[in-house]
Amino acid sequence: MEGSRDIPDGVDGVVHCGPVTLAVSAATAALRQRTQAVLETFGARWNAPGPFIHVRLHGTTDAAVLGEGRYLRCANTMVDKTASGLIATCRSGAFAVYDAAHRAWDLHIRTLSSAASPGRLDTPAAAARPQPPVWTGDSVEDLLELVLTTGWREAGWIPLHAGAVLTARRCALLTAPAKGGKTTLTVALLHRGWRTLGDDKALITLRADGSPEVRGLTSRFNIAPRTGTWFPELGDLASRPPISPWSDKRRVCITDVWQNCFADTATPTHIVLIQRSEERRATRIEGLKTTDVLSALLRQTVIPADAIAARTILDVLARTARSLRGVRFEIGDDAYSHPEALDALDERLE
Amino acid sequence: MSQKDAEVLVLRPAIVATVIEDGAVLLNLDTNDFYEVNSSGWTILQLFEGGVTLDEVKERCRQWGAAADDAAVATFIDVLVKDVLVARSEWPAATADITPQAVWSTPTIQKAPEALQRIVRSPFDPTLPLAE
Repeated sequence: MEGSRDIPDGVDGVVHCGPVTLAVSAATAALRQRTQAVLETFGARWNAPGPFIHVRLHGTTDAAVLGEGRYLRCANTMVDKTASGLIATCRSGAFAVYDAAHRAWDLHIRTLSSAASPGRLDTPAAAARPQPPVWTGDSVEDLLELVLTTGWREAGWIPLHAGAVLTARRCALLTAPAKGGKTTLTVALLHRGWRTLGDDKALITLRADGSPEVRGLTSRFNIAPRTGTWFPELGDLASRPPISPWSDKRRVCITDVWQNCFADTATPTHIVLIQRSEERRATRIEGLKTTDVLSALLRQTVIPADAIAARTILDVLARTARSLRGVRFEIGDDAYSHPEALDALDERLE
Repeated sequence: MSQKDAEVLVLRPAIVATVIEDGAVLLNLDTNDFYEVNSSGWTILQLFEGGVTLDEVKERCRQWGAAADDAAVATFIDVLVKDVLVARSEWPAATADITPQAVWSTPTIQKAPEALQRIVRSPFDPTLPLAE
């Protein structure tokens, strides 16, 4: 976390994440380190950071009862509206409370020892069922993502789980299902001289003239080691540590590989829907209808079940979809070993 | 006039819409289905914002240029009812004074083949959670 003269009293550090600035305090060194690790992946500092969002992390032995998720239902976290803001409850027993008027979040994180027997599993039948391991760290990541996505939407920016690549005249949003190849295609296009706003995290808004603007959040890429066999400039990825016990990907600061490849902002002109091809060396391209472009965009963002938030997201993405040309790009696993494999895509994005 | 056609129907609060150049996009927050409607479709939908009877909708459509007993209007309304985008209201109709923004054309509503994910991986990642 960054130390700075403008840190409010009682705050451990200030973290800039695009258009929002978090004033973070954590009860323990472990929570502070985990928070820092999560926020690093969203850590772009924009020129005009917004007002502070206060984030206080507390250790707790209490377990929250899992909510209904009427605002948002995630795999491990349920979010519900309250009179003063939001409450998020995690399967691990961790919970967070948002006071919207004061722009303040309190995150209550269970320690690993207390999380081993969540209070919600207090019936004999429930306790007898095999349970997945509880990882407190996941709760920190989920809850901090909730803090950020809420703050970004309040600042007028819609989070997009998409990559973005650009040249002087064009900017393509790269979309795919999980593990669908966004990062590999981004790297392949950087290898061909394109620039990037990031490989899977971006924010989008509408300018005053109604045109869309997309901005990036981080130049740190999480890259599968195999990618290094196609693009040797990435170096020996296998010698780097995996980013987590659950992922084989390796973290790379992409500007260390291609200097000046990271851009701040762009006007998106295209969207590419990446699909894996069963033919290993194949590439195939076809145009998308406007309806498919909108569908692709809507599937790259989380939409809370809240009319005001949803209408804003729908407005930004529906207008953006109208201005984008879309292509579906199928690519086989081995196609990247052939430099000409991307010629047709490059041409189609002209 | 059938009793059904005299019932007041209103756009449900779970339906959010945004207007685009040639119509509107709708999202049903209960089901995460989304729809595109053309300009005439959006004109009809706006009647439901304050509550309206189907008789009134049909009469307005005739005034705007639809043929009497236009099957396309009936089909459009059927989709709204079948997909529960509109629901019965106990309140009296409060039909707004709507002016079509474009020349009348056959109203259309297109539902996306797949709804958006109702359960997402995380607050940032909208993809389907993977099984542990």
